[in-house]
Amino acid sequence: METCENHHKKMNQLPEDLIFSIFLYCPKTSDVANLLQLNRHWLGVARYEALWRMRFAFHLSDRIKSEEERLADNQQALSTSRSKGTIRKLKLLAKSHVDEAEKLYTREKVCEHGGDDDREQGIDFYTGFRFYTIFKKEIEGLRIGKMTEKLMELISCNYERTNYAVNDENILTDENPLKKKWKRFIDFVDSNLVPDSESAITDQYYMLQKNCTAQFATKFEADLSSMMKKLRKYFFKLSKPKEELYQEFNNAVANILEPVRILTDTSKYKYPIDAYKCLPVAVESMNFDLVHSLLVSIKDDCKRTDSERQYRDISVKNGDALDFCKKLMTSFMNKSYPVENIMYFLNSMVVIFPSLMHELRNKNHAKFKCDEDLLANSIIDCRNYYTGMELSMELFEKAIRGM
Amino acid sequence: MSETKQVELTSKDKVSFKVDRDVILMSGLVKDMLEEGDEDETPIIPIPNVDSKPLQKVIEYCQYHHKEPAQEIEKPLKGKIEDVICDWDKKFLEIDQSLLIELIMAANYLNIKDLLDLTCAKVASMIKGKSPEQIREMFGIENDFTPEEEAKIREENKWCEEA
Repeated sequence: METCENHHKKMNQLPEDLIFSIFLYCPKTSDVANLLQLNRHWLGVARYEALWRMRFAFHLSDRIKSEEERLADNQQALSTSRSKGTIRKLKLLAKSHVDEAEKLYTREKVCEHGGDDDREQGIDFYTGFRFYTIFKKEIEGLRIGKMTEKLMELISCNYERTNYAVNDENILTDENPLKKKWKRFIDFVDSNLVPDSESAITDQYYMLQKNCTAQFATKFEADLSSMMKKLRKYFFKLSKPKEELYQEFNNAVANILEPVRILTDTSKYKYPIDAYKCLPVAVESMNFDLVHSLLVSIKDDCKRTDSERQYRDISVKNGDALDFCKKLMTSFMNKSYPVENIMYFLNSMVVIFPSLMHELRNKNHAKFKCDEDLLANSIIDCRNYYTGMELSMELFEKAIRGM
Repeated sequence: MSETKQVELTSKDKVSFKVDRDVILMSGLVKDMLEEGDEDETPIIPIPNVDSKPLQKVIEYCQYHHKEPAQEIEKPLKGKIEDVICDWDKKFLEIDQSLLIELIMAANYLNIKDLLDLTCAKVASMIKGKSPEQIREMFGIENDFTPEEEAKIREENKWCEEA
């Protein structure tokens, strides 16, 4: 009579050819991954490049199927894709992998690298096989692409085209479509991105800070600008005392700007949206609440040591810092911001770039009333040098101080 | 009317089975052996690697499928195996895991491709969506990894989940 032990022995000693066949029938590659974790004997089959080529061909077949489904409503595009487009390329690629796998399997069995003892000593042996790595990279690249695509889709979608229109009932609440749009983005980031995750797919630094910052700045500015028009229209209709209206308007703006505060918040994210890079867009948007919010975030970040700073892309070279200040100052002047806004900006730059200020103090022996004036003068000198413009301290003072 | 030619197969545990020659020609191994022998006799073919229980199932499979060729099972399985095989095969596969594994090995040894495909696909279908622990328990597979090694393999193969 067959003992349980014999049965176990059989399964443990199932020849590699047969394990290979089972692997090919597994509906998903994740099922293969689970079988590879059974024991060293089953893991051993992972060393066959033929296996990964076959599984890759199956993966390509799935991609062909989803591409066909995607184009199902457009027969012409489907036909083009089948004759000379993506579907044809995927089919040819899949076929080449199947052909190669068939040739490889026998060759690999004959040209075995080392005996069983050698193989079973380490568990890393299979990673040396080229196609496992290629397949892995392909899938990871695809996943990174999907993640980036999803983030960009959430950033780029037009809140005005959602099913929910902005109206008097929701304009001041969390049901405001702009707020809902950015909440979806924030929720997605919170559920999928992890700081220092050691996976390029979920890495918060690359995905959120590096990939999304520029796009975020542009799209949020566009959303804000359109929402501000609606907000002004809404408040224009209200008949309330001026001071009350002013307060309510400010609260409404603060509510709309909340996604920026959240996404640039260095206490919430280790690698938040980079406030430095959003600043030029914010200044252009003529919304000082947004500018102020970003400057506060940046100043908070500056209190940290260099290694702990969460906005990582800002250059700390003094020349670049002065250039950064110059660009922003030009926008402030062009947009005719109120004097106190410009002074707050200058004061923030003094805090943010201490090394630049140290250099400027050493270079300029002329006495200035304060660091803000020193910085303003340096910006004007720099701007004149590069543009040949005849800006002077007097003109600047006149512009910002109304002198 | 001429009598149907027969072949006698002897299993590892010394049990003999008389089978029609046409039926057992589905086995690549038996076919090769018969080509070498004398056609007038009822040859006795030892099958030293297969016990009587799986050998009987193999014969049962050949008796049905030599007249009803099996349909090819697409790789990989798209869903449950039951959705792509005939009713007879479904009934045929109602066996315990031990016999299923023996059948895989018997089909491989006797070189019966359709039976090998059917049984391998059955195993793939059975393990679908199951964790390594569940599969080990199902088939009594011994885990010879250390917990650290197992964690490393899991980490290394994470990408497969998306493939």
